Amino acid sequence: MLKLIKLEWKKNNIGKYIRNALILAGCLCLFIFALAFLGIANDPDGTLDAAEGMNAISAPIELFTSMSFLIFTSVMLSSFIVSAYKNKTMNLMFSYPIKRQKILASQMLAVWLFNFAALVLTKLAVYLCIFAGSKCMPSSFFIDFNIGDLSFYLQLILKSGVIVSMSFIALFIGMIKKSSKTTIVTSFLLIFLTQANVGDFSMAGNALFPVVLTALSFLFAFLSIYNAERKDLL
Amino acid sequence: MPNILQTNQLTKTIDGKDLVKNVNLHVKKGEIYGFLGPNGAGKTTVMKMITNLWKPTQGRVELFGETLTPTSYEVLKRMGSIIEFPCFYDHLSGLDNLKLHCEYMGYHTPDSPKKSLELLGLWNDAEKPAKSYSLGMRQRLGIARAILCMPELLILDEPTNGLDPAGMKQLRDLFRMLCQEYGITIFISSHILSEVESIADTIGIIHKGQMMKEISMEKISEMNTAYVEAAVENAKRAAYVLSDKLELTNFKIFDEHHIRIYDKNVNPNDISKAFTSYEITIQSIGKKQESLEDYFLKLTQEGESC
Repeated sequence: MLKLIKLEWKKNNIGKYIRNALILAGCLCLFIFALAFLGIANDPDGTLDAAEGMNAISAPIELFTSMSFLIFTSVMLSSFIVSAYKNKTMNLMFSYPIKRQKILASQMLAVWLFNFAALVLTKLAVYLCIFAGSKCMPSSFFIDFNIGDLSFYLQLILKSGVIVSMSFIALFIGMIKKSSKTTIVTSFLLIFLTQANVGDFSMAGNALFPVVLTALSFLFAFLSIYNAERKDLL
Repeated sequence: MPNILQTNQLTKTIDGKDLVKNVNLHVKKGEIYGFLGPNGAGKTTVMKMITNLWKPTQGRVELFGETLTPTSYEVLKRMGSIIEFPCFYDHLSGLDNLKLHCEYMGYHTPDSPKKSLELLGLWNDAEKPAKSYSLGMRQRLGIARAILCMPELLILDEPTNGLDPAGMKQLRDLFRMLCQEYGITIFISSHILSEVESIADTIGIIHKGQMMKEISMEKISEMNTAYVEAAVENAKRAAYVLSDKLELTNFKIFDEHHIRIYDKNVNPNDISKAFTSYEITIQSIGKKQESLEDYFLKLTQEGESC
């Protein structure tokens, strides 16, 4: 499986994605740094313009990094898998003496592993930037994390896993419609579902929600590949 | 010789429409099998089922003596194929595309990509990205990839598409060489009948999803190959003379002025005399040899009239 994942990275020009992920991470660091220390989220009177419960710095960090990487993952999934169906390279893949489910699983894992690592590293970089900045500048947001605490890292890893896995829902719908656009639009809708708030209500703070979402994501991942051996490659 | 590939009552139905129905074909080990049919006849559908990309609705495919199932992966190691058109990872070079193919096939002979590219005359362009290749070069790169792991069976769907006459000849020679020197069985579809005629040992003709005929090229040259073609003023009157006066049955009116007589023992002089005696003006008459194209047209037109 590891060999198949490496081959997926090679044939899909992973260097391009590494470069893009680095640019994205850099932009996120700058943007959130500006939010926290340069007052771009402040009202003209200098007070923070944030919804109730959103005045801690972890809220915009989680929101913007998750949003960006969910879309990034969906773009990669559509390029690795949905486009392969469209441009017929999947015909070639399915002519190899390898179980089709294994091929699809390796493609999904190749994207998942890359984005999970990228999201964890990006979040770490952003948190570290904020931590370093908070030592010498006053922050508009309340600093609500402790980088010396193990649970901080554990949460960071778990949340990243949930977000990256969510893209499997988008992949499933994109595969049904055989459309890269559908995959990416679905990931946008997922962001609204998970991060937006209606009045005071938001799914983001619900503890059960990530568990349900992860279970759903893996169910959709399973549905994307379970019938691959018997299905015609149309 | 044993069959390396055969299909039994192979049927594919999509949305209630039979794309192919009850197709039986038999490809012997070591031969070149030409699979002929007009556009939309069902050639690619059959090839997709043989390569396991599509599953039969009914019937079965037997490859190397085993029935093909959705989980038959081992047979894929022994096959090379191009279905529809070859596709590549365009940012990778031609050479890297072939190396990647070797990795997936589990075929580890380091010099085989080079050998394969040399055979197809692509070695000088090996390092160029596949996206810079012309249509003909892509077709040749597809064939280089199909033969890369020296398969026992090559499935090629219209492999000469996009090639110039020199390229077509190069491929014809290559196919013959692969068949003779390496014993590779080749199952090839083409709409250019003369291409297949010059290399195939056996041909199968498919029309409107049904197998019309499967016959060796040897037999085609032995049977009804010669015929008398007459250009007359009135083909219907000529047909009347042939059937009622000369008691011939094996003939066909092609259009208002042309008629072909397939009876083996017929002599153009006798026909000429008969036509003259019944005052049928003859513009020309003579014996001709039937090409594969004529045979193909005869069969498919019969299918049309059925």
